[in-house]
Amino acid sequence: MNSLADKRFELADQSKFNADEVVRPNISYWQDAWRRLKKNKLALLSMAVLIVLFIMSIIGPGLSGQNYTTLMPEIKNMPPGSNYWLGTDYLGRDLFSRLWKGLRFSIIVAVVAASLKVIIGCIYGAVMAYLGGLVDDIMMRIVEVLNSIPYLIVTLIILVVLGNGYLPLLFALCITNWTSTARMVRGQILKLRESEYIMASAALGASSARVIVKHLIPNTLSLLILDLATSIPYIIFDETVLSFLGVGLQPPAFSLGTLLSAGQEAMAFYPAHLLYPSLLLCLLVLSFNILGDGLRDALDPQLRD
Amino acid sequence: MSQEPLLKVEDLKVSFHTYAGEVQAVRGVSFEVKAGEVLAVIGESGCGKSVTSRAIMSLVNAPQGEIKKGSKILYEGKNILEMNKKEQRAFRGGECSMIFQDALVSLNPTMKIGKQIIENIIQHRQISIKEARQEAIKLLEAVGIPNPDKRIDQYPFEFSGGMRQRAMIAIAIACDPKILIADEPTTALDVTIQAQIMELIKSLKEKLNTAVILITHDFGVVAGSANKVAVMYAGQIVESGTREEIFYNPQHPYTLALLGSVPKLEWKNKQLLQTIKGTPPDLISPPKGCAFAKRCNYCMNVCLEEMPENTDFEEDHHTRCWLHHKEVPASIKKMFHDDRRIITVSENGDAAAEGEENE
Amino acid sequence: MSSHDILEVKHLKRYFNVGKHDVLKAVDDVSFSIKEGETLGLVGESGCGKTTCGRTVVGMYRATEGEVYYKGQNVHKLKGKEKKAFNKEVQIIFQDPYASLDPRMTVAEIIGEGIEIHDLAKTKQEKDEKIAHLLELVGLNKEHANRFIHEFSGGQRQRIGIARALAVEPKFIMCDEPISALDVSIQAQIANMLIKFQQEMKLTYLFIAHDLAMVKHISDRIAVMYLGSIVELAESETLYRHPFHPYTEALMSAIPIADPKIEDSRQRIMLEGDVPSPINTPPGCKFQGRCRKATDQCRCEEPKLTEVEQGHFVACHLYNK
Repeated sequence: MNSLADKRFELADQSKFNADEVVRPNISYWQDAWRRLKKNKLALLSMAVLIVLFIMSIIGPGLSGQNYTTLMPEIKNMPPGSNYWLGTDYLGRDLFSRLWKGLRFSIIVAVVAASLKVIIGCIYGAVMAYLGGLVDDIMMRIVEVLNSIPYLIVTLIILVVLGNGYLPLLFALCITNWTSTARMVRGQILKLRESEYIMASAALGASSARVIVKHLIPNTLSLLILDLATSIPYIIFDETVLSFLGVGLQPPAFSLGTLLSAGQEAMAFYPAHLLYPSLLLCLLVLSFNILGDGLRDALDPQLRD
Repeated sequence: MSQEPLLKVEDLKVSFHTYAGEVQAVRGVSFEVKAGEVLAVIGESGCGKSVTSRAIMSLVNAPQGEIKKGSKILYEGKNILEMNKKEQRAFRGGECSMIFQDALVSLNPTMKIGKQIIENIIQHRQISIKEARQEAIKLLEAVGIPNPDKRIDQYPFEFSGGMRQRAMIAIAIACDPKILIADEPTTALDVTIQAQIMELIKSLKEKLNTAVILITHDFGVVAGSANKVAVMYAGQIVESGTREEIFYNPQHPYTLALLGSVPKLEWKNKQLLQTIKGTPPDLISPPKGCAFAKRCNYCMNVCLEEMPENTDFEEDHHTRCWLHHKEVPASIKKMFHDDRRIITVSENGDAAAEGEENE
Repeated sequence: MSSHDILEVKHLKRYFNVGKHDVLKAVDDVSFSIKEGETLGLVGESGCGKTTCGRTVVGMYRATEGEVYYKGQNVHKLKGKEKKAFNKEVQIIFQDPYASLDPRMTVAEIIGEGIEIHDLAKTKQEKDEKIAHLLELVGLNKEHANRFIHEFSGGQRQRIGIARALAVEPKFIMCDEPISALDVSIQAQIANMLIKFQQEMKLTYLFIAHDLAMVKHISDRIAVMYLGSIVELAESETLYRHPFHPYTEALMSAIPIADPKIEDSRQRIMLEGDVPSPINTPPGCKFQGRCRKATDQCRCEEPKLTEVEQGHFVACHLYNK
């Protein structure tokens, strides 16, 4: 005991110290973002809902085993029952299957169009920011001109010229949407180019390609993901509106929008025909929106705690 | 100096809840300020000095921030932490106001300077807008802004950095506060402007007999203006005393090391400075012993295990360090005293020479 | 120009167009040279153009007029291989340790960038060893290598920034306020590190700062900048003891000294007002608006930087006979 007491006031062995210890966990930016997203219960719930909807859009149409493509006027407008879980529509097709099939097309159109929009916008914005000067000015004016035309008119013109169908629809949805991405990417790259770490990289002798691959892309990626997630619900809406108006997909192809359009005609007698696709659309868009908000909180470095 | 303290902080503990755990930003801080006195709280970033001032201004917000039970902030004997929202608001801005480091962020950019001052005056005093405007012009003049009757109708962006800081001081003193908290008031400013602002704060203190809590990391600023100094490290006050005691008779190795790391103008060129190795501990898991132990040159085994007690010296000089324990061998004490002589005596010796040269 | 000069700046100008007609003269006719192995301090208040000057000198910005010669080569005319060789020899340490490190990278990736660009390591193992060695040099250890930047404190980050610059074994480093964003005790750490590396690796520094005490401590010579021009240039000891230019005088007297007795007894030369805007400066001496000793001559004629004593240059009419 005595020796212990004596040792208390001896100089400690300093060589064992590590005064530069970092006690916080070592996590990358993406792990950190995922951690923050996990804390957001609502966003997780909407993610779960989206996953269920995705799965259902794949397996849903075949689940009931009923026909949903050929016309069977003898069983039209059936109420829900054991054969037709949600009943049939005015041409005798299984509503349950049609609902999921429509959802599938809506999702495919939205995801593909949103991805195309992000890719086109990203390339356009990056070129603007990188070349600068006159090229930047001209490209920016083009964006402004595009932005100043109401999107519905542009879309309608495209669909009228190219005819109805998947590809024209995708093209039309892209052309009206990519400008916001282009502007955002341009702003971000201009900001990054002024940043000291890019300057440091240039001072080390890094080539442009290296700067783009190692610094610009990784630091823009989170914004692009965010842009993708937040633009999907808008594109779903756009597509639905167009199909509802009858200028989007044409029979026999159909999406949630066409279902809504058909449901609206039958609304007076069979409100359920309008209700089902509306509910599904709401659920889908709401989930995407909540997830998008959650992602924004998770990916925004300003909110780091 | 036997008057009652105006503000007394007792055992203040503040924590912030983050994803990685609870950050114990302030870990039992006690001090007091009297009217007409400047207390400098000095420390490195993250030591809890700004959090302390924020706690006094009731600006520690739940749910992240939490002031622990048992903490007391007594203003004229009344505990601020137990006041209701309305009383707190009256205290903040009326009795006690704050100058921030970054005037550009602290001033509302979309509001004219004059309006911001007038608003503060009206909120705490029963006078008309016209009178308040006159008052505001007088205040701008008092803080040394030329053409105050024109400047009052300008926006913050039309002011330069130094002017903005002056405007913020005008807002802060609008209601004749008894206590002025200056949180790094000159850190963002250039040296020549810093000198102007420090002069201004000193002259206002003399004129209005306010108590000033000066939060800073700059020993130079402290030397020129403070009466008392409290040195903070890792959420605790490790040493406090009068300005002279702290500068010429430091008793804590951290204070000493800080003094030694400021280059003196009369030192030889490129002579290596005293440094403190490593970085301050992360307050998510503060060490169980003395927080400075791992960076201290005189670290003993006990320092790593147990928190040191307060040791009192004369003239209100306190320190928390095991070096002053009676069982500490003379050899270790001598090491500390020898090092202290190198840093502080050279200062004293040159002080006289310096003084002559300036005259 | 003596043969020992590693860097020579001749009548360097860097103007920015602000709006249609206004010109911001960030660097306005600056000339100086730096000898091999010395530290030239460049001080001045914010907005005086010292950072722009430094960045133009190392070729990060184009020069509006004038030339910069590094070992006899015009910095702004380098191409290809020569440019790459220049980039290996001349490095920058930045002010803001938060903004100057890529937040998506690990410590090893940041330090390893220069090694990769200039092929300084044959194998991955050699690269890792180099990185570990550099980390050790700046007082960190190899366990830190795989960590991400946001987990480090300001001082630690600055040390990583220094390690990044040292990775390519440079000869000349432009230190752009490397310590002003840091805490006092950390400032000393970094300053010591810079001094030590200079002696061990024979480095030359251009040290930009506004903290006069630290600049005086680190630099062999100091140039004082005001509104884009150098107003005084001298050995650091001389500049501190006997400043000639009224601006330098005021600057020196404004440095707070960590000693109450000195602080209580000293008489400050207080400068009136703020630094005027560098856009469309009036003719004459740029300091005349705040100068106590200004004469009619100062109001119409701009003084030139001339050698008043051996190695002591001043741009002031009071000393130009």
